[in-house]
Amino acid sequence: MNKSINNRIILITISLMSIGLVAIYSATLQSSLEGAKLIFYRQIIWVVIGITTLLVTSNLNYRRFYEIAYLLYPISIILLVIVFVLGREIYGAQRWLELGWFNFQPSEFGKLAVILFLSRYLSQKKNYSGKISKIWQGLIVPLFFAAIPMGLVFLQPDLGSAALIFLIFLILVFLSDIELKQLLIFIGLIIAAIPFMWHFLKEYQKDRLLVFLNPNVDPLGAGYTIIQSKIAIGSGMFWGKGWLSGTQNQLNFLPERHTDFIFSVIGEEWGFLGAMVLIILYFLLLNEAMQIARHSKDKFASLLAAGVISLIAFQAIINISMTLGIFPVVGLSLPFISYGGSSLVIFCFLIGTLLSINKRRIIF
Amino acid sequence: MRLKILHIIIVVFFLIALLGLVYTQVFKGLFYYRKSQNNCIRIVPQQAKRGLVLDRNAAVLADNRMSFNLAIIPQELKDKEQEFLSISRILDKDKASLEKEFRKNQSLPFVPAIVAKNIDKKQAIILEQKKSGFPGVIVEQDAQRFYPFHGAAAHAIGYVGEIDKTRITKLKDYGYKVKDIIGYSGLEEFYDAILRGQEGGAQIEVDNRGIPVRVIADRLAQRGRDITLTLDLRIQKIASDLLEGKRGAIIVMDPNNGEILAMVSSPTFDPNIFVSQNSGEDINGLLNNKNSPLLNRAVAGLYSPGSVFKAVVAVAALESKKIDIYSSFFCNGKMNLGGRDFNCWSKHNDQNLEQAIMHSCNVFFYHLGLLLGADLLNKYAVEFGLGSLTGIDLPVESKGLVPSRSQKSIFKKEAWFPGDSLNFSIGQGDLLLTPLQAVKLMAIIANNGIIIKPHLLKAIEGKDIELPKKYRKVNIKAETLARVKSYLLGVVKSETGTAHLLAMDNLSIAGKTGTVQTAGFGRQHAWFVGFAPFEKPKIVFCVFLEHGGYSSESCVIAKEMLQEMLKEKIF
Repeated sequence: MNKSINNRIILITISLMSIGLVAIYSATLQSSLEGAKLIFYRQIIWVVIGITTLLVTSNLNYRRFYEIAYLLYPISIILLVIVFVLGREIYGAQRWLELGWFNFQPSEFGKLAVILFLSRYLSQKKNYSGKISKIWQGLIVPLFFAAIPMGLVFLQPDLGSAALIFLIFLILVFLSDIELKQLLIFIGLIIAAIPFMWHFLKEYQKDRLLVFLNPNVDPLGAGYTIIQSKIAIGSGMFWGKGWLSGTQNQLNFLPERHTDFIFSVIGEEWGFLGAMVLIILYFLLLNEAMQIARHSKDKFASLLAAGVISLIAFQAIINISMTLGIFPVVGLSLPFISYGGSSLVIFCFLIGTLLSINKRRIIF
Repeated sequence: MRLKILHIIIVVFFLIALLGLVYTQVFKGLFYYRKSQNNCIRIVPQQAKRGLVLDRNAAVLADNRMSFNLAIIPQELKDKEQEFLSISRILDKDKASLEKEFRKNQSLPFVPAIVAKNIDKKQAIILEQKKSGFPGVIVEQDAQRFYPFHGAAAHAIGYVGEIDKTRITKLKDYGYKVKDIIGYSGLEEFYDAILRGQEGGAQIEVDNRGIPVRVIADRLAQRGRDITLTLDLRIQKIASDLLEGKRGAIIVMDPNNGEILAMVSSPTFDPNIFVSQNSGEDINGLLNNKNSPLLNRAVAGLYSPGSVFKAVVAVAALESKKIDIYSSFFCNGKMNLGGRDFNCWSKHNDQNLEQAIMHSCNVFFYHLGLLLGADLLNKYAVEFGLGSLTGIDLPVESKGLVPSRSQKSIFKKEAWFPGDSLNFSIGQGDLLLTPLQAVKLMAIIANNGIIIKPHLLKAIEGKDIELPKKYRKVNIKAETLARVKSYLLGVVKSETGTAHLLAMDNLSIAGKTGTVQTAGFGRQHAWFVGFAPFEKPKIVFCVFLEHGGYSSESCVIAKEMLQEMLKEKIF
């Protein structure tokens, strides 16, 4: 095991969460939302819970996750069905379950469950009897198990998480021993099917995609957020306007800024310098994690690590890109930075599994 | 191997995001910075109060009155239909027109858009009280121009209105902006730069709902400067009452310095209708009225002077020594020239210059016309300022026309005939002047040759404007002018004078009448242009009636005016 890797990962994770706290403090300072003042303190509690989760998880044997993978999967499906049904019947449509003082987002849990499930399934030794069986076990069955949570998340409706689950499925299948040609044909088919999927999108999702293509079609509706976010980030210029001094942020021009658009707050107040530091931190984190994935001799561990890396990396990339207006607004939070308990704890848990894998590398 | 590919893909995507960041923050940073400033910085203009227009005795001719505008903040509007319906009931105005106005003035969701301007004070109070029932509705206070004497001095003062397209392109370099209130016609236009003052405003930081957070900078509006006019409201009112229902113009001027004491053009209009918001029909009515009420006849109306011009011809004949004061001609009621009869209005028998002026004998002046010829007639008309602008401080003035050989050959492609000289000599034919030019002409005689410049501005912010220390004189011997001036006294004083009905015991008046034949269009134009008191002239004046009939009609009005002025102890 390489202890310095773990230390660096812990340091980076805590740095990211601290940056998040600083940004959330600024984002909620002038917010007119009810309970805005509490958001910062709640996030402190979540950070503490997150670090605890991270440390506890890192000390568990990651093979325990192998064992519970097939148990967590059905639990996540049940939770997704519950939020879907309750969401429909009671609240209109929503993505979370109200559990006392916090809201639990089953879709975040669903991502975790899918990574664990696919890592276990794809790492198991298969008895292939010919090409058909290989496609069946290497692609179709995993697709089926990924599609169930994906569909439920999509119906919530949470397009971003559904797309992310699909992306992770593709990456894990790619990293297992499927033939590249088969995977490429499959991706080709998916791309061909995209125009038909358009009809399954909700009106607001279509709007968001259209607005992404041209935010000015609806500057006061769906395009407003993108425009204001770009103005916020751009106006930070190189040095930023200074903490608590971003006009877009402090004067409420930026909606959803303590959650999905927290990056805009950082971009405005800390400028290119601050935003770049943040991206470099992600970059370093993923570099370290990639070493763990590569050095792991255990197929399950390697796939799990790669899944964790992909989830963090692509969620961060998509979130940053959407605040910059180079990706549609799909409602994905910025890992470790955005306000939100379930997301933060689950990301900490995932980092914990990475540390656990690294600790036990020698054993196998 | 495949892990490495994943790693590379992730790195590439991070780099793309980083490039996006560089583009947004570094390359387009300033662009977005300005946008963020536009987002949160509002310029709230503070209208400068327009300067007042006062008469020479400090009576307010153009005032600023508090008015109320109804505006709606678009984003706070909840039930648009219902709200506009209620407002239209309270204001008693058409709902569709209110909505049209609202759409026209809407700019940003948090900037109030004016729905109705200049609403009734009572309605404003009702709306203010019921405010909670109408989310987004606010009553704004505004200063509005008000002309307390309505049409009495409308042509001289002019009116104000929102700047139009042609003016904005012309004036935008001078700091004029869209929706600025500027002066149109009259002194409001001529002295707009003095009257308008300097708009102030505050730079305010607002949040996303347009609620002010703090004031970044502000500058107080600077009130426009007041102007005092040479007009005397008392005379102005007398004159405008006398012209009521008639077409024509009255000008009263101080010959000593060119101060216009009264300037009336009739028919007139109420300048207040240009200020109020809902008078589109009234304005159209003015524009389409065939009596052209917007035309300032006093300075822009062009008419033949008729016999008024004989004063100039008399000066010309004496000065060029074509006749002397003893020369006489016989009038048998007409003169035959080239087989055509040129008529006189009576048979005057033997007339010398004094008598000919007194009786306004055409035949006598026909002889002078023949003696002087086109060039000398032209020369003296020009010497008296005809054919060129008086330079009065009004935006529009006509310069008229003085006939000459070259003018006739260019515009009519005809040679000058002796008959043209005959017409010229009695102020008929192509000769055209404005009533103001007639007054100026008379002032030169009354002043013994001194040329003054007619003007309407007396003082700015109570400080008198500078008048020229020395005036130019006409190039005519004082003796000649004095002679003709004394003959003009006879026109009124002598029992056979054409303006004898104007004679008053306590005021010696001199002047010249004029009855202009108008080719087929209605009655003659009636003129009386004169000055008083004869010994030391205090006023030069002109009463002109467009198609008003014989000159005696003008004399009647002139007499009434002078009597009223005496009653008011203006002399």
